[in-house]
Amino acid sequence: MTLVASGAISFGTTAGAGQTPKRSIYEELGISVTSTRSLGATDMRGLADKPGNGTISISDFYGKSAGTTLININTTGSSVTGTSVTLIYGSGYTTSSPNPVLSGGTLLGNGDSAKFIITDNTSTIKVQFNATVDVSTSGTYPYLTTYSVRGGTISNIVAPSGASVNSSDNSKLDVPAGTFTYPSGTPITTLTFSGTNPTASTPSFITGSNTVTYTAASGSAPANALATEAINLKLIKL
Amino acid sequence: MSYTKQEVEEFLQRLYDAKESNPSAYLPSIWEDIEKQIQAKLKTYQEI
Repeated sequence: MTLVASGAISFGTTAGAGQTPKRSIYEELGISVTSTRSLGATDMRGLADKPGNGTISISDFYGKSAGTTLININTTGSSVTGTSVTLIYGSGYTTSSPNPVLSGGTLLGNGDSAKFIITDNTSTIKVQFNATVDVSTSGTYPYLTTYSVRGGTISNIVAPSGASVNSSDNSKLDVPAGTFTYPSGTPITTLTFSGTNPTASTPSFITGSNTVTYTAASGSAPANALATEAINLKLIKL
Repeated sequence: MSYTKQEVEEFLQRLYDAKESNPSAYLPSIWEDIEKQIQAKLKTYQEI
């Protein structure tokens, strides 16, 4: 569900209860309508796409959706290839223990909108944006179902300041120097998001995972091990 | 399901063939992840 795009809107039910679209911020958050929340509360800022300490107002909630969280998971491993480091956010998914992004009651389907959020080990949001996703199942070996950011659909880049769509591949996000650290140098980092889930036809020793690849835009070193700088990935179906 | 070493080697070759014939089918990170998993499986035969 999504909050109303204009007009009356309230924390509780002053502007109306059970409306379609919703007019209650608390209803959208799925909390008690008699709750007491500061506008600066983390969940309030998350819904309003206003993380951090910046100014926030009730109009920031117009048109926003809490969505359904598909994964909220700390990194479970990494691998380095050249100037890239790939962090894994959940792995070992099988047909009997599937990737929650791609299987289950609520899942990500082709053309769905999603919110991607990366946070560090102090719960500070490092990266946040919305995008449409491509989801497809290969009809040929290795028959995996995969998802990735659909090119040209990245929008609402909330964090970090100065992030932009990569100029040569518009399915990727460039984040400014300093967002992630390096052993040497301070290049821009290009981020690539993807995930997989095996099908019944996939060889049983091939499992699925969720990954974000952090690639140095220049220089020769991959970003530092990001277990602290990008410890958590949250993927929300909008 | 168990696989023979030869079957796993064939899976790896099929991966290379698939990558060559349709390189845009998967992102590099996905190709690399699959390849690593197959290589890891092959390594288990060598350790036996």
